[in-house]
Amino acid sequence: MKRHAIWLLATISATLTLYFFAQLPLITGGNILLQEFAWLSTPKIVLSFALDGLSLLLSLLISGIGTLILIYSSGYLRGDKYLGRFYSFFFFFMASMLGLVLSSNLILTFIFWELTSIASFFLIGFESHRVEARSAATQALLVTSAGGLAMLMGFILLFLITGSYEIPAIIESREKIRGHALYLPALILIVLGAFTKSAQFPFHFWLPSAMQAPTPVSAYLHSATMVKAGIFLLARLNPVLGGSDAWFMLLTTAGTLTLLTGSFMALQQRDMKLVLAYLTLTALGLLVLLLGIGSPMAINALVAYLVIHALYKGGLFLIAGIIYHATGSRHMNGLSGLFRTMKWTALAAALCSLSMAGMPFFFGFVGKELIYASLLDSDSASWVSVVATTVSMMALTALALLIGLSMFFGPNTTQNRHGTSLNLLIAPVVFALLGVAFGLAPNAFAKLAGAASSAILGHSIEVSLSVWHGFNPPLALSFISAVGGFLIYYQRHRLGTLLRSIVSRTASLTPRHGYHILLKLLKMLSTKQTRFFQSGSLFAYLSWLLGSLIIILLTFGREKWLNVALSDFRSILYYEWVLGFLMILGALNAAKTRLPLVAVVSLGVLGYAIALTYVLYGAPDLAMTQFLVETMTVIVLALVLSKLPEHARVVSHPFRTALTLVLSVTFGILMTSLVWNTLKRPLDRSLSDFFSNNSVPLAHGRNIVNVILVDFRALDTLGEITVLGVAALGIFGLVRIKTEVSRAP
Amino acid sequence: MTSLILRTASRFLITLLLLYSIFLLLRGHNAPGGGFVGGLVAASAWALYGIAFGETSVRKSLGLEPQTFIALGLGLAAVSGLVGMFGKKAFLTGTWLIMDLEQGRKLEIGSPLVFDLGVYFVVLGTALTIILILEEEES
Repeated sequence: MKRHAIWLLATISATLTLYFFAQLPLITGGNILLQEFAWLSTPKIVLSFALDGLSLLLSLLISGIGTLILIYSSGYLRGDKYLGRFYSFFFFFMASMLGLVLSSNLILTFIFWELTSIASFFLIGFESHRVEARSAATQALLVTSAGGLAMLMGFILLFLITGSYEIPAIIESREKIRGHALYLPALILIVLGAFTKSAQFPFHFWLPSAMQAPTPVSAYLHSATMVKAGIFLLARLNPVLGGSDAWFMLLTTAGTLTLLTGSFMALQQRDMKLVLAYLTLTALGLLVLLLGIGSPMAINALVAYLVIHALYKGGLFLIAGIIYHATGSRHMNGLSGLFRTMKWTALAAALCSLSMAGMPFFFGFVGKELIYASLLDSDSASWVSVVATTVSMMALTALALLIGLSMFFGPNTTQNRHGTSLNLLIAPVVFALLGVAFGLAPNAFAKLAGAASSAILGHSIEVSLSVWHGFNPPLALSFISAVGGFLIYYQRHRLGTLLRSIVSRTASLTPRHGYHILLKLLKMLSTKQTRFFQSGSLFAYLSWLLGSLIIILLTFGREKWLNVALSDFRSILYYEWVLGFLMILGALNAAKTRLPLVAVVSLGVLGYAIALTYVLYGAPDLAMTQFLVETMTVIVLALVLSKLPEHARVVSHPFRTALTLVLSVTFGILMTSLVWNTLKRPLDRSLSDFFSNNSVPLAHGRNIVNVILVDFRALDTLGEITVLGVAALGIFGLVRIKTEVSRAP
Repeated sequence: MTSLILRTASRFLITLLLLYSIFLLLRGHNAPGGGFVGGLVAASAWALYGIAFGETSVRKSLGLEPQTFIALGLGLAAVSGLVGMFGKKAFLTGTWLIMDLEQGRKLEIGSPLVFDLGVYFVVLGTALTIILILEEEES
C-alpha cells in the first residue's frame, strides 16, 4: 500500500504537466492567461497569477521534471522511514516553485520565493541525523533568505517609484523607473536576491554544500529548478531593470566569475555529485552572463540553455545517484567498468554527457552554438567573456568524458550491491532521450522558446533553432573547446593535483570561510545581547520594566495624565473605601511576610477584593471569572511552593529591598493617577451602544459579555484560547524537562 | 494528604461542581456564565479531586490526557467557525437553528454555543495540564 502511493502522487504532478502542455497552443499564440483573487485591501495586494511564455516554460520544467524525479525517488529512497515526509516536502517545494513562476505580483513572488527556500531547507536537511546535512541546510537557508530580504527591499523601492506591486504595471512604468534616483539601489537589492538564490559568486558556496541532500533533491532543486529562480526573477524583470550599464556590469561580472569558479572547482573534485554541483555553478554563471548581455540572441541562448541544462544535469545527477545506490561510492577515480552491470545507466550517462559537452546532434550543441554566436555578435560583450566561456566549455567537455566514459569502461573493479530498478531508470533515460530528440529536431522547441524569449525581452520575437549553423566563428570556438576538453581530459590527473594544491592553499580566502566568520560573530553578538537582556533574574526584569514605565510616564504624561486633586477623593463612597483598604491590606501583608504561602494567600485577598468591586459595579461575569482565576492562582502557586525546599524564604539585600519599595510605590501611585484621569474623560459609547443594540437581534444572546466573546469578537477569542493552550503546553514541557533532567543520573 | 472529610466531601462536590459548570456554560449566552467561567469551575472541581485523591486518580477518572482537551477545544472552536462559511459568510459568523416550542417559546441553538464549548474545553485542559503536572509526585 505504502509502496504504491507513489503512483497516485506521480499522477497528480503528471496531470499538472499535462495541464501545462494543454496551454501550449494558447500561450505560444501570444496570449497570456491571467487569474486574480482579492486578498489584502491595505496595502493593496492582489493574488494575481499570469501564465506567459516564460512561466509556461518553467512550469513545464517544474512539473515535468518533478514527476520524473518523484518516480525516481520512490526507488532511491525505498524503505526509508521518512518517505512520507520526503514526499510532502517535495510537493511543498513543487507548489511553491510553481507559485513563484506563476505569480504576477511582487509580494506574492517574494512569499513563494521564501517558501522555496524553506522547502529547500527541509530537503537539504532531510537526513537530519547527520550534522553536515543540518549545517548545510542552515547555510543554504541563511544565504538565500538574506538575499530574499534584500530582494524584498528592492521590491519596496520599486513600489515607492511606481505605486504598484503588480508586475505588468511596473513594466509599464519602465521609463519612470529608469530615470529615478532609486533605480540603482533597487537594482542592486533585487540582483542580490537573485544572486544568492542562483548561487552566483561570491554567494555560490551554499550550493556545493547543499549536496548533502538526497540525490533526487540535488537533481530537482539544486540543478533543474530552484537555483533557476534567481535567473527567472532577473528574466522576469528584464524589461524593467535590464539593458542599463549597471545591469550589464553586475550581471556579466558575476556571471563570468561564477562560470570560472564553477569550472575551476569542478576540475579538482573527485566526488561525482560535487563535480556536478560545481558544473551547475558554471551553467548558472553562463545564464546570468547571457542575461547581462541581453541581446535577443543572448536571450534565445538563455532560454535554450535553461532547458538543456535542466535535462542533462538532472539526468547526470540521477545517474550519480544510481551509481552511488549500487556501489556505495561516488568517487570517480575509484569507479570503472560499470558498463557491464549497468547498461541502461551507461547509455543514459553517455547521452547526457554528450549533450553536456555540446557534441553535434545533441541539444547541448544547439545551445552552445547560440551562446557563442551571441557572445561574438554582441557589441558590448568583451573578449573576457568569450575566453571565460570557452574555457568553461573545455571543462564541461573534459568532465563529460570523465563522467560518460571513464566510469563505465575499463576493468570492472567495483562490486554492485544490487541491480538497478525500473523506477530509478525511467527518469534519466527520459532526460537523455529528450536531449537527443531536441538535438535532432530543435525546432519542436522553437515556438515555446520564442514565447519565453518574448516575455523576457518585453516585445515579441520569432525564434528558429537549427541542428546545423554552417561553418562560422561559433563552430570554430566549438571546435577549440572540444579539442581543449580532450587535452584536459588526458592531463586530468596532473591538472587535478595542481588545482587541489591551489584550493587547499587559498581555503582561508574563500567566501565560504567568510560566511563562517560572519556566523561566529553573529553568534557571539547574540549571546552577549541575550546575556545582557535576559539575565534570568525576575527582579531585574521587573525593575527594568517598571523603571522604564515610570520614566516614560514622568517625562511625557505629567500634565495630561498625572493630575490628581485632593477634592476628587470626596466622590469615593464609604464601601469603596472599605474595599480599597482591604486591597491595601492584602498587598501590604504580602509584601511584609517572609512566608511564601502567606504571601500567596494575601495576594488572593487582594484579588477577591478586586472581584468584589466588579460585583459593586454590575459586572457579574467579570467578577465570577476573577473569583475563579484568583482561586486557581492560589491553588497553582501553593502547588509550586510545595515543590520548593522548606527553607526557601524571601531573603533580600537591604539595597534591593529599598529599590523594590521605591519602584513599587512610585509605580502604584502613577498607575492610580493614570486610571483616575482616564475615568475623568468622557467615554466613547459608540461601541458599547452597538453591542447592546445588536446583541439580541444579531447574535441571539442577552449576555453582552458572552456575545462579544463568542460571536462579535470570536476571532480574538480563538486567538486567545490558542495562546492559552500553547502556554499550557509550554509549562508542561518546562516542568517535564526539569523532571527528566533531575531524574537523569 | 489523606483527610477523610475532604475525601468524602469532594466525591459529592465534584459532581455538583461539574454539573454547575455545564449549567454555567449553557446559560452563558443570556445570563452571567459562559465557557470560560464554566471551564474554570470544572477545572477547580478536578483540582479539588486531585487534592483529595492525588494526581493519578484524576488522570484515571478523566480518561484523556488534559492536553487532549486543549486540542479538542481548539478543534471545536475552529470547526464552529467553519459552519458559517458554508453559507458563504465570513469565518466564525454565527449560524443559528431556531426551533419553535409550544406556548410561543423558542429554542435557539447556534454555532457560538459550539464555540463556547471549545473555550470550555481549552480552559479546562489548560488549567488541568498545569495543575496535574505540578501535582505530579516526583519519584
